[in-house]
Amino acid sequence: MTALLSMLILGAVSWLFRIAFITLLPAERLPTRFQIALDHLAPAVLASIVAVELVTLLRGASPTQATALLAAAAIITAVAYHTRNVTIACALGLCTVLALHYLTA
Amino acid sequence: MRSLLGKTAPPQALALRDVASVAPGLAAFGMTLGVTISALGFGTLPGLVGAGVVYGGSAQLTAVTLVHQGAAFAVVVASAAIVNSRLLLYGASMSRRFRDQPTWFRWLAPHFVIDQTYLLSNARPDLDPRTFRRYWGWLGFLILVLWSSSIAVGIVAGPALPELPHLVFVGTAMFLGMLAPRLTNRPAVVAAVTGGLAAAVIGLVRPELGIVGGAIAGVIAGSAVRR
Repeated sequence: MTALLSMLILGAVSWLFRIAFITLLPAERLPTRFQIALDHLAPAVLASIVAVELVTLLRGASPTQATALLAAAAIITAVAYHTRNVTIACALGLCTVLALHYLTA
Repeated sequence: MRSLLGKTAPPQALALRDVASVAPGLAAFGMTLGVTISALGFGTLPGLVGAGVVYGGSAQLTAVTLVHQGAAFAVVVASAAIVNSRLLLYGASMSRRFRDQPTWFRWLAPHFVIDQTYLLSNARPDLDPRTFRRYWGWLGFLILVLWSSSIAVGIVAGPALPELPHLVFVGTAMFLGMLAPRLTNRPAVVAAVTGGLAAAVIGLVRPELGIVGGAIAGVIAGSAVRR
């Protein structure tokens, strides 16, 4: 029951977050400086997600696995920069996971 | 002639192409969450309800883990809500796209705001309001179906799947694939580097604050450089 209730309450809170600056207080009413600053949100949040996920992965990894993961991340970044293709990045990520599984097992 | 995948393609075709580009990363993360839900005994019903209602993997994963650890109800909700607080920033950033939309759309459609929908639609700034409405509906619906299905597969097939502790890296690769093409100017690079470093440091101390803390630091740094 706790699990289900937590999902429902969390869902309601998340919905409030989602509509807060769209419906309740549209961001156009906020200072222009704030709106302009949000132009940088996409790269900032993407890098933040990647950093947090990498930190979590590296915490539980052996030195070999950690090195492989960091090297793979660098390669994927370079490939994605040149190809601008998310699917290729995902495929490289999957190859890394499988390689780590079969080579370090 | 513009191809079906070009900018003049129907909104549903644009949405389908965008969803396909992130599908492997999304499916891997969803399956990882499903396996975790199964392994920690969170329950199939709460897991699947959370997939649609919370519609945010990191927050749901936080809640699943904390419930398993026996944390108090308020702690579970508050911690997971902090993880999802970046949705406030996404909403603020997307406000203009919703400004000229019908009232029902402004109240209901923001439910589809997640990392992927925000970032994918952010790359299509030229859609007119009507086209955006249809594109957004399809995008959110298709990702919701893919996301819920992936979690369900993880829950059901989890025990039979080989153990892949690094499977979530496919999701990391997806975000790297979305990040790299955006590093085209100095403010963007500064925002990304600052955001990443701040998130890593904050995340070491308070994991639930890492993403939103890094995002705010990156936005401030990017703005400072542009001035």
